[in-house]
Amino acid sequence: MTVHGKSLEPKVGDLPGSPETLPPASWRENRVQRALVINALRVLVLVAAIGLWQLSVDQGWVGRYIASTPSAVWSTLSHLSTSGNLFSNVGVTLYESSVGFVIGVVGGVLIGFVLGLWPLAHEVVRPFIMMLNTLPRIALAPLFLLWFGIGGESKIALVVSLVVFIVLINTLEGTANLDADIVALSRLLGAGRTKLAIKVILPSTLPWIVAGMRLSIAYAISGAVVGEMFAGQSGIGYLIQAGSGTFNVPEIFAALVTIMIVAWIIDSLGRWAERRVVRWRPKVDLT
Amino acid sequence: MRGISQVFRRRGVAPLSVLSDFTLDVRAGEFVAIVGPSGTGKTTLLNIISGLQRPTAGEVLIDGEKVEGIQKRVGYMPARDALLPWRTALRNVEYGLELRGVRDRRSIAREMLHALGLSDFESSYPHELSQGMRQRVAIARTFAVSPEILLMDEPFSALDAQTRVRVQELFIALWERERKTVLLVTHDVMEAIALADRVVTCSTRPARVTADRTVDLDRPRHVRELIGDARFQALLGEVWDDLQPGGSSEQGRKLG
Repeated sequence: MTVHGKSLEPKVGDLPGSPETLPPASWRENRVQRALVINALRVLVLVAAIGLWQLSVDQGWVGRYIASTPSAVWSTLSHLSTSGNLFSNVGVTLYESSVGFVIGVVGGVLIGFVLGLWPLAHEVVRPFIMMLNTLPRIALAPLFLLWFGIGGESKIALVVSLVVFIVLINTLEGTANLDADIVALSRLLGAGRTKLAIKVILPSTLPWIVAGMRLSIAYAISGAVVGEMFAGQSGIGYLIQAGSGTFNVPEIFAALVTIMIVAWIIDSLGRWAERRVVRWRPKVDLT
Repeated sequence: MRGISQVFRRRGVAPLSVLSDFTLDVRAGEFVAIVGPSGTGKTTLLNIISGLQRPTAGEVLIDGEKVEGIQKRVGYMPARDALLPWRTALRNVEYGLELRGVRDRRSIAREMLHALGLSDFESSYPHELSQGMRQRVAIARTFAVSPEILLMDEPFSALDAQTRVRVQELFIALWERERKTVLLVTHDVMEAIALADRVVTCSTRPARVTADRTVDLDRPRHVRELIGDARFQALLGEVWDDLQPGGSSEQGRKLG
């Protein structure tokens, strides 16, 4: 075999590391094959878990009315989705969590930057932030209900109260990790406050902000669902609450499965976005 | 450079008394190395000269003008490369030009990277480069804005021995072409003699100048060849003597 007149067969004197002399890679080293194997194993785990669930109810190990069955959950899911009930409720939850998420992220980043760049203010409010952050936010749900009513606003407020602290603390962490050499050098090169903020502080804090945002996704959805469970007439949390009130276990599971799938899709999108934003970071492989 | 002489003067007692009555005159286009043990306030000295830090007492004069605030004509090279990790090598070299609003920064940056043998790594991110390459990018960035005065804080200390010599040679070749005023702070005596026109030694904290020697080695210099040079070795011995507490040497012009 020759390419451009050069032999591709291994020659004496070839480096031992040249591609021709390497042994065939096992599936562990081939990225595509590895991904295939891992995904196949994942499907296997999922099928096994569902199978075990169905089996243990069918065999009478667990009560049908307590655990329901995958098949019952599936038929409830398809029933709910054909009636349009499922999607409208998912839509409500998604709306509440995404509005709360955006408000929380913007607020957290802004407060984080102000405190990060204003050490005195940070020093003053730090204990209060920590106190508020240790407060179980679910305990605020009744209060938000009184303040904002049983509509979407009270759920959005709950989401904001969760997200804002996660993003704030991450942003603060990011601004605290500024490289002093880079700052000194930028100032010598002529960077004023604004240019320093745009060209140094923002990009170096971005990975922390993005990490906080990804962490917040799960909390945003949880906040909305918990808010809906407290009071309201729509949303996945309402479905769960309603299912519980009518002993409709399949409906509860259908709602749970739906949240899981929706959260997983959003998290995957978030992961993809995170990779694109912080492409310049070294990849650490811990496996 | 406009002025005939530049005067760096620092007299002062910082709270920790890091520097004490440190006085030094540097001529334009001169390469001065300051050698002293680690932690003697050499970095503080550079910060004061660049205007990043205000001295407790004393003053720094550049071209007879007192230093007040950030000095934009000063180029600074820290021990760690301080590259922006989110920028490619090329964009890092452009950084200073960008902050100063230079138009054809891309071509200047390309030229600098080419001079340092990094043309193939323009679009690499810092984490993809070796230590030596990163320091070369930092040199390119420093020279790209063509500062009148170069302050270097142990710029080669993070490199392994072989890489260090290679980067030093690239740097000295570039300097011999451009002849900026350089103040190099280092704890490496060999490096100081190999690169500089003058070697100033200082005491432990509070640091003050203990000796000031002229390095009369020919230029252009090649760091590797100097190691066998008799004059180089003699200087090495003398500077080592200067660094001994209370040590003296007959030929040295001792100060303080």
